[in-house]
Amino acid sequence: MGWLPEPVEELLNVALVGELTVVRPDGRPVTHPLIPLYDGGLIFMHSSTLFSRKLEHIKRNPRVAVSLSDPVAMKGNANRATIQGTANVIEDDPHSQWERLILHLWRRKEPAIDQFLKARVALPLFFERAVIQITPERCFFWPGGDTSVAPQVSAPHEAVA
Amino acid sequence: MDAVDAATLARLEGYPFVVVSWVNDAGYPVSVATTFKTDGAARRVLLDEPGGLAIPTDREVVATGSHIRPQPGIGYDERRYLSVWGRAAAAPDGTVALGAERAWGWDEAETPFFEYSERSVPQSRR
Repeated sequence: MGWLPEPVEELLNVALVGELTVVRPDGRPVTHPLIPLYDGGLIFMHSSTLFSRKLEHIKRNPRVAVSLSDPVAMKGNANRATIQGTANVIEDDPHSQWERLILHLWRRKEPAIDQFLKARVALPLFFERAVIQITPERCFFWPGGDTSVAPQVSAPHEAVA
Repeated sequence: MDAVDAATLARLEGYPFVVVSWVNDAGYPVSVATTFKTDGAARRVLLDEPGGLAIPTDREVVATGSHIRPQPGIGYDERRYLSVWGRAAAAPDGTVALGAERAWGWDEAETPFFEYSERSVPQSRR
């Protein structure tokens, strides 16, 4: 289904945090640590529709990057990767659409979410959520996490380097 | 965003590495993890140059330290992060010196998540 190298998919499947970088209207980068979710082809992140400007930044400029860099957050996996892609904000129904799209993926990494869901009436703003759906377009991979050497670069349907 | 002082950079030193990000000529963000040290007096972050991805000196970059503690069967806690923005320049010692101009971050130990979320509403609307 997806084209990302298998070691990068392994990182996506275990990572509890990745750094999403988006572009502000003035062209400057902003980085947000978020939990990355992966369905075998697309990367998903999510955000409250009220709390964050990142959604507005993505709507203006959908080019993003996701860094997977912290072995502590990746079950000790020392590999590192950065994935560039195009993001789409899905927020037609902030009350339940995210549940249909990503709850099963979120629950695998953060089982405690079910406890928060039981209290959702007390946390209404938190549970009005938008999904950030990222289509990978280019991947930088550092085996062993050594970023002092050039990364292996790949893209869909071709080996770039 | 907040101005950067020596205390800000001392907090950044608590992270074992930073993810350095910039926007490339094609308009995509580029991110790479690297080790670093700080110079609080000069308000600089001295970044070890990554291989194959040169940190640009003609545009703003952001360096972000991030931490969580995994909690198997639950998820994670101890969330905190700190981002520092500025321009980079080659340093005599071979590192890349990020002149720290502004910073922003959050520490769950100081501001619980749901309080942080509520406090972020006005800011997110600006």
